[in-house]
Amino acid sequence: MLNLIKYELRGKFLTILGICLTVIIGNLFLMTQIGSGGMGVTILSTLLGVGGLVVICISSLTMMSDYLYDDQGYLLFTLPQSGVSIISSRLIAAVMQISIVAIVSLLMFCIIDQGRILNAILQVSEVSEILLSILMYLWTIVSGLTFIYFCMVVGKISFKGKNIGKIGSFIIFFVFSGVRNWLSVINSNFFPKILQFDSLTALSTSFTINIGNTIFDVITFAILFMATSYLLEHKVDL
Amino acid sequence: MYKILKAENLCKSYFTKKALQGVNLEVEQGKIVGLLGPNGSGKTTFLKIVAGILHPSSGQILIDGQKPGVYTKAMVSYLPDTEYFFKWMKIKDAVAYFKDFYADFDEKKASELLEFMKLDVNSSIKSLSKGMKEKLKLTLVLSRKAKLYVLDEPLGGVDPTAREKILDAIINNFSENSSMIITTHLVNDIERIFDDVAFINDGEIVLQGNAEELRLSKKKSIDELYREVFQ
Repeated sequence: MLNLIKYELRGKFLTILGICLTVIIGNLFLMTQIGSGGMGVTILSTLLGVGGLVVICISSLTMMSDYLYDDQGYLLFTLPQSGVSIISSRLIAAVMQISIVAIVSLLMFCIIDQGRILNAILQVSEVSEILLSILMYLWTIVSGLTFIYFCMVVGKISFKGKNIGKIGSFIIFFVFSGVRNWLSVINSNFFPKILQFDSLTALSTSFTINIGNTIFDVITFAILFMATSYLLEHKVDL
Repeated sequence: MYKILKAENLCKSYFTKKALQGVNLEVEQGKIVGLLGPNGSGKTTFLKIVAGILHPSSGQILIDGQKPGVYTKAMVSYLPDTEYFFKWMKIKDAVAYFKDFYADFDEKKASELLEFMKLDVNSSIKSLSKGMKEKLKLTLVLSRKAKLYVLDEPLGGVDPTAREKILDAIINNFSENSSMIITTHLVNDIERIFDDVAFINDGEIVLQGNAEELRLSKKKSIDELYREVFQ
């Protein structure tokens, strides 16, 4: 699996480098405007970072699409690797790629902002909350990508042809998202108990977790992860 | 003799189209089998099932006693008829890729074959001609000490000189402990290396047997027999 991650990262090296350079150069340009821009400069820096994250996320999804629909799939799916290895490596590589861009964007933002917002957050947050935030960040990427990969794989199996398969995957994504949200609402009605984290209220951002929905999300993730792994190994035809 | 591959009533359907219709085929250890047929006859479909990237609709296929999967992928060396390399790869990256993923990959053999094929390890793959890419793919596939080699149109799109080179590479690097399935419609160029042949048409095996016995019994070369069967 480590080798799979290595080649995933190698394949996206230029993309990651390009995005990071764009974010750095963009922020360097914004630094020259600090005197005249006011708050606009920090907003533009944030937008630059968000843009970089969106591009790297899309890039990560197109790589999976390339494996499913293009000839590169022959290289991956003829390897003696299980579906679990393939999906795990995709997710780990995606987390690493997104994190690299996120760290570069955050660093550049901190330089522009002179660390004011980061300091404010660190002063009112406990270590456990920072760790929880990192966990939530990882969870959002991993669970989100697993859900999307599942829809892509189901689309590939269900629809014949590259274009129809991709459109089908989109439709499946919207249908399954609707179903998942509906189940989530029903679940939170049955299990309304929540956990509240108070100290972040200093920044006016109250932070709550519905226990029932969290368990539901974890179970859904486990099912989707195993289902995607199984489908990749036993059902996907190239 | 030990049969490395056994296919029984193998069928594959794509929605309404039937690509394979009850294929029965066995490959013995140490034999080179020619799977011959025109375009669209089901050759590639069969090989993709052997390689584990296509799944049969019904029937059974066993490779070394196992259904296609992680175990069989480690012992099947598959040459597809597509250009599957990553765009960023140089030849040395492709060699490293195979070395990283296949325990049976022989780096020394790969170096010898690259030299034989006159391929420079520092060349970018996207700059190679079709014939050179074909040679590179064959180099990587033959550099594995696999139990079963599966070559899909190894002579497709290459000039006659390159064909000779590719055939020499196949013959020189074939071990009696392994087996090979080769598909082609360029029968005349390659028939001398076949031990057994199977003619496939519309997803069905229409004729199969030992190549020499067929030549003697039908008093025709395999190429002439091919033309007779598919005309």
